[in-house]
Amino acid sequence: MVNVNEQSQIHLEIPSQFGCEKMAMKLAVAIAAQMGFPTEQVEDLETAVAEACLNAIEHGNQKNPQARVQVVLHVAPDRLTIDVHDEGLGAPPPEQVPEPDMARKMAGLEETRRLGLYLIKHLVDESGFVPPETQDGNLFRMVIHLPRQSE
Amino acid sequence: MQTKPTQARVRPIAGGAIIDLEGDINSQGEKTLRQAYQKACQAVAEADTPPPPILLNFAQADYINTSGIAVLISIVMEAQKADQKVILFGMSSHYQKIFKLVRLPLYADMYPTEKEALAALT
Repeated sequence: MVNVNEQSQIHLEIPSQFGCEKMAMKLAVAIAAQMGFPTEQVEDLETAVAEACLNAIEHGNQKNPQARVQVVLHVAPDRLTIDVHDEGLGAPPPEQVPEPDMARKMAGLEETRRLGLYLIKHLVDESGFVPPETQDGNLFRMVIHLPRQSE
Repeated sequence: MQTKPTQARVRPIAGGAIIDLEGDINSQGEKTLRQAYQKACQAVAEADTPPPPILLNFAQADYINTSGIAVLISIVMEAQKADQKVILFGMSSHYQKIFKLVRLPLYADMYPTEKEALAALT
């Protein structure tokens, strides 16, 4: 059991295999629910964590089963920060999150994929790639803030 | 923890066909989804113009990720080329929100329940 009134960290390492993102989703949901986040925010986080892990598996680690994805949840009294770290085996991550153009996708002028970062941006309070502190690779950070009591 | 394979069963109805989806809706389920769509198209194949609508039922779908949404987009694209309507229903309020965020309802009508989706056909 995590004491959500104190700073604490939970680490999870998953293989670069589709389906393994579900472990990170379950962990994030359990921690966010225990911290008292509203159901809608927990569901949004669940999808955001899934997409961040899928990006790490597919793009960051190029689906190499030997490469690992590190997920670190930083618990603070007012927020939950989730870091998803891959080994940086693919192309550098995009500097900006493009708005998907569904008309172009429907016309076959834009690929139907590449929706993950856009969705994450709309599902959590803060998100983006940050410089890794201690390791190589890509570090993607997501933050959700607990609503204030008066909200 | 493994993915739950996509399952898709085609259920002909008056004026169209429903594809009942189960499990995970992701890229691994693309073949299953495409085969179900083709089967549904065959089930409604008539001389009608435009062809009768295909309804996708997400009530038993556990998990939908963006690779699955990409497959759905490609099916909607294919249907549009044939001037065929695609209707989505049964997804949770969370996945309704996700579909709205990617603007899927601009190209496929979306209803909370089968009852409401069927009512829209009449």
